[in-house]
Amino acid sequence: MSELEQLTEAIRKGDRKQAGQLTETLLDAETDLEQVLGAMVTAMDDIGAKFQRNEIFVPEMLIAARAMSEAMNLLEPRLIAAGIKPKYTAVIGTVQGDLHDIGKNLVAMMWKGAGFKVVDLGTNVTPAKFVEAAREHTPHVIGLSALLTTTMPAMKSIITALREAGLNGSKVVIGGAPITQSYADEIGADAYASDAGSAVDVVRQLVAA
Amino acid sequence: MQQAYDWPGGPTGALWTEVLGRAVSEAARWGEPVVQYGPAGVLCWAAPLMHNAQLRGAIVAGIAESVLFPTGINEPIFDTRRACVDLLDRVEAANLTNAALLQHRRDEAQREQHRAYALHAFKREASTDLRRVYLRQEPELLAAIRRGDRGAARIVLNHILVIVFGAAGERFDLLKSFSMELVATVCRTAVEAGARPEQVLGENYTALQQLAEIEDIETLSPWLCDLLERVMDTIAHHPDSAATMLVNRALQHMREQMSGPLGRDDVAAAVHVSPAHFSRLFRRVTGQSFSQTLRSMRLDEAARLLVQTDRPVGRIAAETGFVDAAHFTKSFQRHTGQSPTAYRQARQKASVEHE
Repeated sequence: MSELEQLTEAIRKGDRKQAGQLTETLLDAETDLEQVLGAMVTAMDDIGAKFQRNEIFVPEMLIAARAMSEAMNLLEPRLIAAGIKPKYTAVIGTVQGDLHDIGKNLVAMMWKGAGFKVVDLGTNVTPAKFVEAAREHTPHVIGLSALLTTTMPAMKSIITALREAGLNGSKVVIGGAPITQSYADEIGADAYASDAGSAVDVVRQLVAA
Repeated sequence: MQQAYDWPGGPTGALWTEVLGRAVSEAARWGEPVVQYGPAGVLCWAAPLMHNAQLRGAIVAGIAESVLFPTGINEPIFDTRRACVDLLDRVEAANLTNAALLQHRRDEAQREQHRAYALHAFKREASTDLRRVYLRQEPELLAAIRRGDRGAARIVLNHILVIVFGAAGERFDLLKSFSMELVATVCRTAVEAGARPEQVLGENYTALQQLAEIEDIETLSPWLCDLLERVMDTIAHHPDSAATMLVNRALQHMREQMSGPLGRDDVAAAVHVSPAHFSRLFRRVTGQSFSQTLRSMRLDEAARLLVQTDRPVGRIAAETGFVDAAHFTKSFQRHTGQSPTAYRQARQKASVEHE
Protein backbone atom coordinates (compact mmCIF):
# COMPACT_ATOMS: atom_id res chain seq x y z
CA MET A 1 0.00 0.00 0.00
CA SER A 2 1.39 3.41 -0.92
CA GLU A 3 1.67 6.06 1.76
CA LEU A 4 -1.21 7.95 0.17
CA GLU A 5 -3.36 4.84 0.43
CA GLN A 6 -2.22 4.36 3.99
CA LEU A 7 -3.33 7.91 4.77
CA THR A 8 -6.75 7.19 3.28
CA GLU A 9 -6.95 4.04 5.38
CA ALA A 10 -5.85 5.77 8.60
CA ILE A 11 -8.54 8.44 8.21
CA ARG A 12 -11.14 5.83 7.36
CA LYS A 13 -10.29 3.94 10.55
CA GLY A 14 -10.23 7.16 12.55
CA ASP A 15 -6.62 6.73 13.62
CA ARG A 16 -5.75 10.33 14.31
CA LYS A 17 -2.14 9.80 15.31
CA GLN A 18 -1.31 7.72 12.27
CA ALA A 19 -3.12 10.12 9.97
CA GLY A 20 -1.00 12.98 11.33
CA GLN A 21 2.25 11.04 11.06
CA LEU A 22 1.54 9.89 7.52
CA THR A 23 0.64 13.42 6.43
CA GLU A 24 3.91 14.69 7.86
CA THR A 25 5.85 11.96 6.08
CA LEU A 26 4.09 12.73 2.81
CA LEU A 27 4.68 16.46 3.16
CA ASP A 28 8.35 15.93 4.07
CA ALA A 29 8.72 13.84 0.94
CA GLU A 30 7.37 16.77 -1.08
CA THR A 31 4.41 14.76 -2.29
CA ASP A 32 2.08 16.63 -4.61
CA LEU A 33 -0.26 18.56 -2.29
CA GLU A 34 -3.32 17.94 -4.44
CA GLN A 35 -2.63 14.22 -4.15
CA VAL A 36 -2.44 14.39 -0.37
CA LEU A 37 -5.70 16.31 -0.33
CA GLY A 38 -7.15 13.73 -2.73
CA ALA A 39 -6.23 10.89 -0.36
CA MET A 40 -8.10 12.65 2.43
CA VAL A 41 -11.14 13.42 0.29
CA THR A 42 -11.29 9.76 -0.80
CA ALA A 43 -11.41 8.64 2.83
CA MET A 44 -14.14 11.08 3.80
CA ASP A 45 -16.16 10.28 0.69
CA ASP A 46 -16.01 6.65 1.62
CA ILE A 47 -17.05 7.35 5.22
CA GLY A 48 -19.88 9.61 4.05
CA ALA A 49 -21.16 6.98 1.64
CA LYS A 50 -21.03 4.27 4.31
CA PHE A 51 -22.89 6.53 6.70
CA GLN A 52 -25.54 7.22 4.08
CA ARG A 53 -25.97 3.50 3.52
CA ASN A 54 -26.30 3.11 7.32
CA GLU A 55 -23.30 0.83 7.48
CA ILE A 56 -21.52 2.70 10.25
CA PHE A 57 -22.30 4.48 13.50
CA VAL A 58 -21.94 8.16 14.37
CA PRO A 59 -18.82 7.63 16.55
CA GLU A 60 -17.02 5.93 13.65
CA MET A 61 -17.75 8.92 11.47
CA LEU A 62 -16.74 11.27 14.24
CA ILE A 63 -13.30 9.78 14.76
CA ALA A 64 -12.70 9.63 11.00
CA ALA A 65 -13.56 13.32 10.82
CA ARG A 66 -11.19 14.06 13.69
CA ALA A 67 -8.39 12.16 11.97
CA MET A 68 -9.12 14.15 8.82
CA SER A 69 -8.94 17.42 10.78
CA GLU A 70 -5.58 16.42 12.20
CA ALA A 71 -4.22 15.76 8.73
CA MET A 72 -5.88 18.88 7.33
CA ASN A 73 -4.28 21.13 9.98
CA LEU A 74 -0.90 20.01 8.69
CA LEU A 75 -1.80 20.25 5.04
CA GLU A 76 -3.66 23.57 5.09
CA PRO A 77 -0.69 25.91 5.65
CA ARG A 78 1.11 24.19 2.78
CA LEU A 79 -1.87 24.60 0.50
CA ILE A 80 -2.11 28.28 1.36
CA ALA A 81 1.64 28.78 0.85
CA ALA A 82 1.37 27.09 -2.54
CA GLY A 83 -1.53 29.35 -3.45
CA ILE A 84 -3.95 26.43 -3.70
CA LYS A 85 -7.28 27.72 -2.53
CA PRO A 86 -10.40 25.68 -1.93
CA LYS A 87 -12.69 26.12 -4.91
CA TYR A 88 -15.76 26.55 -2.76
CA THR A 89 -16.59 28.24 0.50
CA ALA A 90 -19.30 27.23 2.96
CA VAL A 91 -20.64 29.00 6.03
CA ILE A 92 -22.32 26.85 8.66
CA GLY A 93 -24.01 27.35 12.02
CA THR A 94 -26.67 26.08 14.40
CA VAL A 95 -29.59 28.50 14.42
CA GLN A 96 -30.51 30.94 17.17
CA GLY A 97 -31.89 29.31 20.32
CA ASP A 98 -30.25 25.99 19.56
CA LEU A 99 -27.05 24.94 21.32
CA HIS A 100 -26.63 21.55 19.67
CA ASP A 101 -23.48 21.26 17.71
CA ILE A 102 -22.68 17.63 17.02
CA GLY A 103 -24.66 17.43 13.76
CA LYS A 104 -23.34 20.78 12.62
CA ASN A 105 -19.77 19.77 13.51
CA LEU A 106 -20.07 16.54 11.58
CA VAL A 107 -21.36 18.33 8.50
CA ALA A 108 -18.61 20.96 8.81
CA MET A 109 -15.97 18.25 8.98
CA MET A 110 -17.48 16.34 6.08
CA TRP A 111 -17.50 19.51 3.97
CA LYS A 112 -13.89 20.17 4.88
CA GLY A 113 -13.18 16.59 3.93
CA ALA A 114 -14.76 17.29 0.56
CA GLY A 115 -12.30 20.12 0.02
CA PHE A 116 -14.51 23.09 0.97
CA LYS A 117 -13.34 26.08 2.93
CA VAL A 118 -15.69 25.99 5.91
CA VAL A 119 -16.48 28.97 8.12
CA ASP A 120 -18.08 27.64 11.29
CA LEU A 121 -20.18 30.25 13.09
CA GLY A 122 -20.87 27.94 16.04
CA THR A 123 -24.20 27.50 17.80
CA ASN A 124 -27.05 29.90 18.67
CA VAL A 125 -26.29 32.03 15.60
CA THR A 126 -28.58 35.00 14.91
CA PRO A 127 -29.90 35.87 11.43
CA ALA A 128 -27.78 39.07 11.56
CA LYS A 129 -24.63 37.01 12.07
CA PHE A 130 -25.45 34.79 9.10
CA VAL A 131 -26.01 37.89 6.96
CA GLU A 132 -22.73 39.39 8.10
CA ALA A 133 -20.82 36.15 7.40
CA ALA A 134 -22.48 35.83 3.99
CA ARG A 135 -21.31 39.36 3.10
CA GLU A 136 -17.80 38.79 4.35
CA HIS A 137 -17.10 35.36 2.88
CA THR A 138 -19.46 35.29 -0.13
CA PRO A 139 -19.94 31.56 0.42
CA HIS A 140 -21.28 29.22 -2.24
CA VAL A 141 -23.40 27.49 0.36
CA ILE A 142 -24.78 28.32 3.78
CA GLY A 143 -25.66 25.42 6.07
CA LEU A 144 -28.28 25.83 8.78
CA SER A 145 -28.65 23.23 11.50
CA ALA A 146 -31.40 22.78 14.11
CA LEU A 147 -32.03 19.85 16.42
CA LEU A 148 -35.15 21.18 18.12
CA THR A 149 -38.61 21.61 16.67
CA THR A 150 -38.82 24.86 18.61
CA THR A 151 -35.83 26.35 16.84
CA MET A 152 -36.82 25.30 13.32
CA PRO A 153 -38.67 28.58 12.61
CA ALA A 154 -35.38 30.45 13.08
CA MET A 155 -34.32 28.91 9.75
CA LYS A 156 -37.04 30.78 7.98
CA SER A 157 -36.00 34.07 9.59
CA ILE A 158 -32.44 33.51 8.42
CA ILE A 159 -33.48 32.78 4.84
CA THR A 160 -35.71 35.87 4.85
CA ALA A 161 -32.90 38.01 6.26
CA LEU A 162 -30.46 36.75 3.62
CA ARG A 163 -32.93 37.41 0.79
CA GLU A 164 -33.79 40.86 2.14
CA ALA A 165 -30.11 41.72 2.28
CA GLY A 166 -29.95 40.74 -1.41
CA LEU A 167 -27.52 37.90 -0.71
CA ASN A 168 -28.92 35.54 -3.30
CA GLY A 169 -25.58 34.13 -4.43
CA SER A 170 -25.35 31.66 -1.57
CA LYS A 171 -27.42 28.50 -1.67
CA VAL A 172 -29.00 27.59 1.64
CA VAL A 173 -28.91 23.96 2.82
CA ILE A 174 -30.81 22.96 5.94
CA GLY A 175 -30.68 19.87 8.08
CA GLY A 176 -31.17 18.42 11.56
CA ALA A 177 -33.34 15.82 13.28
CA PRO A 178 -36.75 17.54 12.91
CA ILE A 179 -36.13 18.87 9.37
CA THR A 180 -37.76 17.39 6.27
CA GLN A 181 -37.67 18.07 2.54
CA SER A 182 -41.16 19.52 2.68
CA TYR A 183 -40.12 21.93 5.41
CA ALA A 184 -37.17 22.98 3.26
CA ASP A 185 -39.55 23.62 0.34
CA GLU A 186 -41.95 25.49 2.58
CA ILE A 187 -39.39 27.99 3.89
CA GLY A 188 -37.66 28.38 0.53
CA ALA A 189 -34.34 26.66 1.33
CA ASP A 190 -32.35 25.59 -1.71
CA ALA A 191 -31.77 22.09 -0.40
CA TYR A 192 -32.28 19.67 2.44
CA ALA A 193 -29.67 17.20 3.69
CA SER A 194 -30.93 14.25 5.69
CA ASP A 195 -27.57 13.40 7.24
CA ALA A 196 -23.93 14.42 7.32
CA GLY A 197 -23.09 12.01 4.51
CA SER A 198 -25.70 13.29 2.11
CA ALA A 199 -24.84 16.89 3.07
CA VAL A 200 -21.70 16.44 0.98
CA ASP A 201 -23.56 15.17 -2.09
CA VAL A 202 -26.13 17.92 -1.73
CA VAL A 203 -23.61 20.76 -1.71
CA ARG A 204 -21.63 19.20 -4.54
CA GLN A 205 -24.77 19.19 -6.64
CA LEU A 206 -25.60 22.75 -5.60
CA VAL A 207 -22.20 24.16 -6.56
CA ALA A 208 -22.15 22.19 -9.81
CA ALA A 209 -25.56 23.55 -10.81
CA MET B 1 -9.16 26.80 75.26
CA GLN B 2 -10.85 23.53 74.46
CA GLN B 3 -11.75 21.62 77.56
CA ALA B 4 -9.62 18.53 77.93
CA TYR B 5 -11.61 15.31 77.78
CA ASP B 6 -10.54 11.81 78.53
CA TRP B 7 -7.90 10.80 76.01
CA PRO B 8 -6.77 7.28 76.92
CA GLY B 9 -3.08 6.71 76.45
CA GLY B 10 -2.65 10.02 74.63
CA PRO B 11 -2.00 10.33 70.93
CA THR B 12 1.04 8.12 70.54
CA GLY B 13 2.02 5.39 68.09
CA ALA B 14 2.33 5.09 64.30
CA LEU B 15 -1.39 5.02 63.69
CA TRP B 16 -1.86 8.25 65.60
CA THR B 17 0.95 9.88 63.66
CA GLU B 18 -0.88 8.97 60.47
CA VAL B 19 -4.28 10.16 61.71
CA LEU B 20 -2.94 13.46 63.05
CA GLY B 21 -0.94 13.99 59.88
CA ARG B 22 -4.09 13.51 57.85
CA ALA B 23 -6.10 15.84 60.13
CA VAL B 24 -3.51 18.56 59.51
CA SER B 25 -3.10 18.00 55.76
CA GLU B 26 -6.88 17.83 55.20
CA ALA B 27 -7.39 21.04 57.21
CA ALA B 28 -4.76 22.79 55.09
CA ARG B 29 -6.19 21.34 51.89
CA TRP B 30 -9.81 22.36 52.44
CA GLY B 31 -9.03 25.54 54.35
CA GLU B 32 -10.85 24.34 57.46
CA PRO B 33 -10.60 21.53 60.02
CA VAL B 34 -12.04 18.16 59.05
CA VAL B 35 -12.98 15.66 61.75
CA GLN B 36 -10.92 12.46 61.54
CA TYR B 37 -11.55 9.14 63.18
CA GLY B 38 -8.54 8.00 65.21
CA PRO B 39 -7.59 4.93 67.25
CA ALA B 40 -9.43 4.07 70.48
CA GLY B 41 -12.60 5.74 69.24
CA VAL B 42 -11.17 9.24 69.39
CA LEU B 43 -12.36 11.92 66.98
CA CYS B 44 -9.88 14.69 66.24
CA TRP B 45 -9.47 17.81 64.13
CA ALA B 46 -6.66 20.24 63.55
CA ALA B 47 -5.92 23.83 62.69
CA PRO B 48 -2.70 24.31 60.74
CA LEU B 49 -0.04 26.70 62.02
CA MET B 50 1.46 28.46 59.05
CA HIS B 51 4.12 30.92 58.15
CA ASN B 52 3.16 32.37 54.76
CA ALA B 53 2.33 29.33 52.66
CA GLN B 54 4.46 27.00 54.79
CA LEU B 55 2.96 24.53 57.18
CA ARG B 56 4.85 24.74 60.50
CA GLY B 57 2.71 22.64 62.83
CA ALA B 58 -0.81 22.35 64.10
CA ILE B 59 -3.08 22.64 67.06
CA VAL B 60 -5.07 19.49 67.43
CA ALA B 61 -8.26 18.98 69.39
CA GLY B 62 -10.02 15.70 70.01
CA ILE B 63 -12.63 13.88 71.98
CA ALA B 64 -13.46 10.24 72.59
CA GLU B 65 -16.55 9.17 70.73
CA SER B 66 -17.93 7.61 73.94
CA VAL B 67 -17.75 11.03 75.62
CA LEU B 68 -19.26 12.87 72.66
CA PHE B 69 -22.19 10.47 72.48
CA PRO B 70 -22.72 9.46 76.13
CA THR B 71 -25.90 7.51 75.43
CA GLY B 72 -24.29 5.66 72.55
CA ILE B 73 -26.69 7.18 70.04
CA ASN B 74 -28.44 10.36 69.02
CA GLU B 75 -27.37 13.72 70.41
CA PRO B 76 -23.69 14.60 70.83
CA ILE B 77 -22.86 16.71 73.88
CA PHE B 78 -21.54 19.45 71.61
CA ASP B 79 -21.42 20.34 67.93
CA THR B 80 -18.08 19.20 66.48
CA ARG B 81 -18.57 21.38 63.40
CA ARG B 82 -18.81 24.41 65.63
CA ALA B 83 -15.75 23.23 67.57
CA CYS B 84 -13.82 23.02 64.28
CA VAL B 85 -14.79 26.58 63.36
CA ASP B 86 -14.01 27.72 66.88
CA LEU B 87 -10.52 26.20 66.84
CA LEU B 88 -9.74 27.80 63.50
CA ASP B 89 -11.09 31.18 64.67
CA ARG B 90 -8.81 31.15 67.68
CA VAL B 91 -5.76 30.18 65.65
CA GLU B 92 -6.54 32.91 63.13
CA ALA B 93 -7.20 35.50 65.85
CA ALA B 94 -3.81 34.73 67.37
CA ASN B 95 -2.31 35.24 63.89
CA LEU B 96 -0.75 31.77 63.96
CA THR B 97 -1.83 30.81 60.47
CA ASN B 98 -2.30 32.16 56.95
CA ALA B 99 -5.98 33.09 57.16
CA ALA B 100 -6.11 34.49 53.64
CA LEU B 101 -4.72 31.32 52.09
CA LEU B 102 -7.11 29.14 54.07
CA GLN B 103 -10.04 31.35 53.01
CA HIS B 104 -8.91 30.99 49.40
CA ARG B 105 -8.84 27.21 49.72
CA ARG B 106 -12.29 27.18 51.33
CA ASP B 107 -13.64 29.19 48.40
CA GLU B 108 -11.95 26.84 45.95
CA ALA B 109 -13.40 23.80 47.70
CA GLN B 110 -16.85 25.34 47.64
CA ARG B 111 -16.61 26.16 43.95
CA GLU B 112 -15.45 22.62 43.27
CA GLN B 113 -18.42 21.30 45.23
CA HIS B 114 -20.84 23.45 43.24
CA ARG B 115 -19.27 22.24 40.03
CA ALA B 116 -19.64 18.64 41.16
CA TYR B 117 -23.31 19.21 42.05
CA ALA B 118 -24.02 20.93 38.74
CA LEU B 119 -22.27 18.18 36.81
CA HIS B 120 -24.20 15.55 38.68
CA ALA B 121 -27.51 17.28 37.94
CA PHE B 122 -26.58 17.63 34.29
CA LYS B 123 -25.61 13.97 34.01
CA ARG B 124 -28.86 12.90 35.58
CA GLU B 125 -30.84 15.04 33.17
CA ALA B 126 -28.92 13.84 30.12
CA SER B 127 -29.30 10.22 31.19
CA THR B 128 -33.05 10.62 31.57
CA ASP B 129 -33.18 12.13 28.12
CA LEU B 130 -31.18 9.23 26.74
CA ARG B 131 -33.42 6.64 28.39
CA ARG B 132 -36.59 8.43 27.28
CA VAL B 133 -35.52 8.56 23.65
CA TYR B 134 -34.28 5.00 23.81
CA LEU B 135 -37.49 3.63 25.26
CA ARG B 136 -39.50 5.41 22.62
CA GLN B 137 -37.35 3.96 19.87
CA GLU B 138 -36.71 0.52 21.33
CA PRO B 139 -39.57 -1.23 19.47
CA GLU B 140 -38.34 0.20 16.21
CA LEU B 141 -34.83 -0.98 17.01
CA LEU B 142 -36.01 -4.49 17.89
CA ALA B 143 -38.24 -4.71 14.85
CA ALA B 144 -35.38 -3.65 12.57
CA ILE B 145 -32.99 -6.20 14.07
CA ARG B 146 -35.63 -8.93 13.80
CA ARG B 147 -36.25 -8.38 10.14
CA GLY B 148 -32.50 -8.39 9.60
CA ASP B 149 -32.41 -4.71 8.64
CA ARG B 150 -29.15 -3.63 10.26
CA GLY B 151 -29.25 -0.30 8.47
CA ALA B 152 -32.55 0.69 10.06
CA ALA B 153 -31.27 -0.49 13.44
CA ARG B 154 -28.17 1.68 13.04
CA ILE B 155 -30.37 4.68 12.21
CA VAL B 156 -32.16 4.24 15.54
CA LEU B 157 -28.93 3.77 17.47
CA ASN B 158 -27.38 6.74 15.68
CA HIS B 159 -30.20 8.97 16.93
CA ILE B 160 -29.32 7.93 20.44
CA LEU B 161 -25.58 8.20 19.82
CA VAL B 162 -26.06 11.79 18.69
CA ILE B 163 -27.62 12.51 22.08
CA VAL B 164 -24.76 10.74 23.85
CA PHE B 165 -22.01 12.54 21.96
CA GLY B 166 -23.91 15.82 21.91
CA ALA B 167 -24.50 15.85 25.66
CA ALA B 168 -20.92 14.92 26.46
CA GLY B 169 -19.41 17.58 24.20
CA GLU B 170 -15.66 17.66 24.66
CA ARG B 171 -15.80 16.06 28.11
CA PHE B 172 -14.35 12.60 27.77
CA ASP B 173 -15.34 11.53 31.30
CA LEU B 174 -18.96 12.37 30.53
CA LEU B 175 -18.76 10.58 27.20
CA LYS B 176 -17.50 7.48 28.96
CA SER B 177 -20.24 7.62 31.53
CA PHE B 178 -23.00 8.15 28.93
CA SER B 179 -21.55 5.33 26.81
CA MET B 180 -21.76 3.10 29.87
CA GLU B 181 -25.37 4.14 30.34
CA LEU B 182 -26.16 3.35 26.71
CA VAL B 183 -24.45 -0.03 26.95
CA ALA B 184 -26.42 -0.89 30.09
CA THR B 185 -29.65 0.09 28.37
CA VAL B 186 -29.07 -1.91 25.19
CA CYS B 187 -27.85 -4.88 27.21
CA ARG B 188 -31.18 -4.89 29.00
CA THR B 189 -32.90 -5.15 25.62
CA ALA B 190 -30.67 -8.08 24.67
CA VAL B 191 -31.19 -9.84 27.99
CA GLU B 192 -34.94 -9.40 27.68
CA ALA B 193 -34.64 -10.91 24.23
CA GLY B 194 -33.26 -14.01 25.92
CA ALA B 195 -29.52 -13.41 25.69
CA ARG B 196 -27.19 -14.04 28.60
CA PRO B 197 -25.29 -10.92 29.71
CA GLU B 198 -22.03 -12.75 28.96
CA GLN B 199 -23.02 -13.04 25.32
CA VAL B 200 -23.14 -9.28 25.05
CA LEU B 201 -20.39 -8.20 27.43
CA GLY B 202 -18.05 -11.19 27.04
CA GLU B 203 -17.12 -13.77 29.67
CA ASN B 204 -16.46 -12.09 33.03
CA TYR B 205 -17.83 -8.88 31.51
CA THR B 206 -14.54 -8.26 29.70
CA ALA B 207 -16.11 -5.39 27.80
CA LEU B 208 -16.68 -3.41 30.98
CA GLN B 209 -13.10 -3.95 32.13
CA GLN B 210 -11.95 -2.71 28.75
CA LEU B 211 -14.05 0.42 29.11
CA ALA B 212 -12.38 1.23 32.42
CA GLU B 213 -9.03 1.34 30.64
CA ILE B 214 -10.15 3.37 27.65
CA GLU B 215 -8.81 6.90 27.74
CA ASP B 216 -9.53 8.49 24.39
CA ILE B 217 -12.32 8.79 21.91
CA GLU B 218 -10.31 6.96 19.22
CA THR B 219 -10.42 3.81 21.38
CA LEU B 220 -13.87 4.40 22.81
CA SER B 221 -15.60 4.63 19.42
CA PRO B 222 -14.64 1.20 18.07
CA TRP B 223 -15.32 -0.33 21.50
CA LEU B 224 -18.81 1.14 21.57
CA CYS B 225 -19.59 0.33 17.94
CA ASP B 226 -18.36 -3.28 18.29
CA LEU B 227 -20.52 -3.71 21.34
CA LEU B 228 -23.59 -2.35 19.58
CA GLU B 229 -22.98 -4.73 16.66
CA ARG B 230 -22.68 -7.60 19.16
CA VAL B 231 -25.93 -6.58 20.83
CA MET B 232 -27.65 -6.65 17.45
CA ASP B 233 -26.17 -10.11 16.78
CA THR B 234 -27.43 -11.52 20.06
CA ILE B 235 -30.89 -10.05 19.61
CA ALA B 236 -31.04 -11.43 16.08
CA HIS B 237 -30.18 -14.89 17.44
CA HIS B 238 -33.09 -14.82 19.85
CA PRO B 239 -35.81 -14.28 17.32
CA ASP B 240 -38.94 -13.85 19.31
CA SER B 241 -38.37 -14.01 23.00
CA ALA B 242 -38.28 -10.24 23.48
CA ALA B 243 -41.78 -10.00 22.06
CA THR B 244 -42.91 -12.90 24.23
CA MET B 245 -41.52 -11.31 27.35
CA LEU B 246 -43.08 -8.00 26.52
CA VAL B 247 -46.46 -9.61 25.96
CA ASN B 248 -46.07 -11.55 29.22
CA ARG B 249 -45.48 -8.31 31.04
CA ALA B 250 -48.57 -6.90 29.34
CA LEU B 251 -50.69 -9.89 30.34
CA GLN B 252 -49.49 -9.59 33.92
CA HIS B 253 -50.44 -5.92 33.92
CA MET B 254 -53.86 -6.76 32.46
CA ARG B 255 -54.52 -9.38 35.15
CA GLU B 256 -53.65 -6.89 37.87
CA GLN B 257 -55.68 -4.03 36.43
CA MET B 258 -58.67 -5.75 34.83
CA SER B 259 -61.17 -4.57 37.45
CA GLY B 260 -60.77 -1.00 36.25
CA PRO B 261 -61.29 0.63 32.87
CA LEU B 262 -58.31 -0.70 30.94
CA GLY B 263 -57.57 0.20 27.34
CA ARG B 264 -55.01 -1.00 24.86
CA ASP B 265 -53.19 2.33 25.07
CA ASP B 266 -52.84 2.05 28.86
CA VAL B 267 -51.27 -1.39 28.61
CA ALA B 268 -49.01 -0.33 25.72
CA ALA B 269 -47.84 2.59 27.85
CA ALA B 270 -47.24 0.28 30.82
CA VAL B 271 -44.85 -1.83 28.74
CA HIS B 272 -43.31 1.21 27.04
CA VAL B 273 -44.22 0.60 23.42
CA SER B 274 -46.40 2.47 20.98
CA PRO B 275 -50.06 1.35 20.81
CA ALA B 276 -49.84 0.29 17.17
CA HIS B 277 -46.65 -1.69 17.71
CA PHE B 278 -48.17 -3.24 20.84
CA SER B 279 -51.23 -4.45 18.93
CA ARG B 280 -49.07 -6.09 16.28
CA LEU B 281 -46.80 -7.81 18.83
CA PHE B 282 -49.73 -8.88 20.92
CA ARG B 283 -51.51 -10.51 18.03
CA ARG B 284 -48.34 -12.18 16.79
CA VAL B 285 -47.58 -13.76 20.16
CA THR B 286 -51.09 -14.63 21.42
CA GLY B 287 -52.89 -15.10 18.11
CA GLN B 288 -55.72 -12.91 19.37
CA SER B 289 -56.39 -9.21 19.51
CA PHE B 290 -55.88 -7.26 22.71
CA SER B 291 -59.60 -6.72 23.29
CA GLN B 292 -60.49 -10.38 22.65
CA THR B 293 -57.84 -11.46 25.14
CA LEU B 294 -58.91 -8.93 27.76
CA ARG B 295 -62.55 -9.96 27.40
CA SER B 296 -61.74 -13.68 27.80
CA MET B 297 -59.49 -12.90 30.74
CA ARG B 298 -62.29 -10.97 32.47
CA LEU B 299 -64.92 -13.61 31.74
CA ASP B 300 -62.67 -16.45 32.93
CA GLU B 301 -62.06 -14.58 36.16
CA ALA B 302 -65.81 -13.90 36.53
CA ALA B 303 -66.50 -17.61 36.00
CA ARG B 304 -63.98 -18.49 38.72
CA LEU B 305 -65.55 -16.00 41.14
CA LEU B 306 -69.04 -17.26 40.35
CA VAL B 307 -68.05 -20.78 41.30
CA GLN B 308 -65.64 -20.13 44.15
CA THR B 309 -67.47 -17.31 45.95
CA ASP B 310 -71.04 -16.46 46.66
CA ARG B 311 -70.68 -12.78 45.79
CA PRO B 312 -73.65 -11.34 43.90
CA VAL B 313 -73.41 -11.42 40.11
CA GLY B 314 -73.51 -7.59 39.87
CA ARG B 315 -70.52 -7.28 42.17
CA ILE B 316 -68.53 -9.91 40.25
CA ALA B 317 -69.29 -8.04 37.03
CA ALA B 318 -67.96 -4.83 38.55
CA GLU B 319 -64.88 -6.58 39.99
CA THR B 320 -63.95 -7.93 36.59
CA GLY B 321 -64.23 -4.58 34.87
CA PHE B 322 -67.77 -4.72 33.40
CA VAL B 323 -69.51 -1.39 33.88
CA ASP B 324 -72.87 -2.64 32.73
CA ALA B 325 -74.33 -5.79 34.33
CA ALA B 326 -76.60 -6.52 31.35
CA HIS B 327 -73.61 -6.32 29.00
CA PHE B 328 -71.74 -8.69 31.33
CA THR B 329 -74.58 -11.23 31.26
CA LYS B 330 -74.74 -11.13 27.47
CA SER B 331 -70.97 -11.50 27.05
CA PHE B 332 -70.83 -14.28 29.61
CA GLN B 333 -73.60 -16.16 27.87
CA ARG B 334 -71.77 -15.89 24.56
CA HIS B 335 -68.49 -17.00 26.15
CA THR B 336 -69.77 -20.04 28.13
CA GLY B 337 -73.13 -20.80 26.57
CA GLN B 338 -74.87 -20.21 29.92
CA SER B 339 -76.08 -17.19 31.90
CA PRO B 340 -73.97 -16.33 34.95
CA THR B 341 -76.63 -17.61 37.37
CA ALA B 342 -77.16 -20.86 35.43
CA TYR B 343 -73.38 -21.32 35.21
CA ARG B 344 -73.00 -20.84 38.96
CA GLN B 345 -75.86 -23.20 39.82
CA ALA B 346 -74.64 -25.92 37.47
CA ARG B 347 -71.07 -25.79 38.78
CA GLN B 348 -71.97 -25.47 42.44
CA LYS B 349 -74.41 -28.33 42.08
CA ALA B 350 -71.76 -30.39 40.32
CA SER B 351 -69.29 -29.72 43.08
CA VAL B 352 -71.80 -30.64 45.80
CA GLU B 353 -72.59 -33.91 43.98
CA HIS B 354 -68.90 -34.59 43.66
CA GLU B 355 -68.45 -34.27 47.41
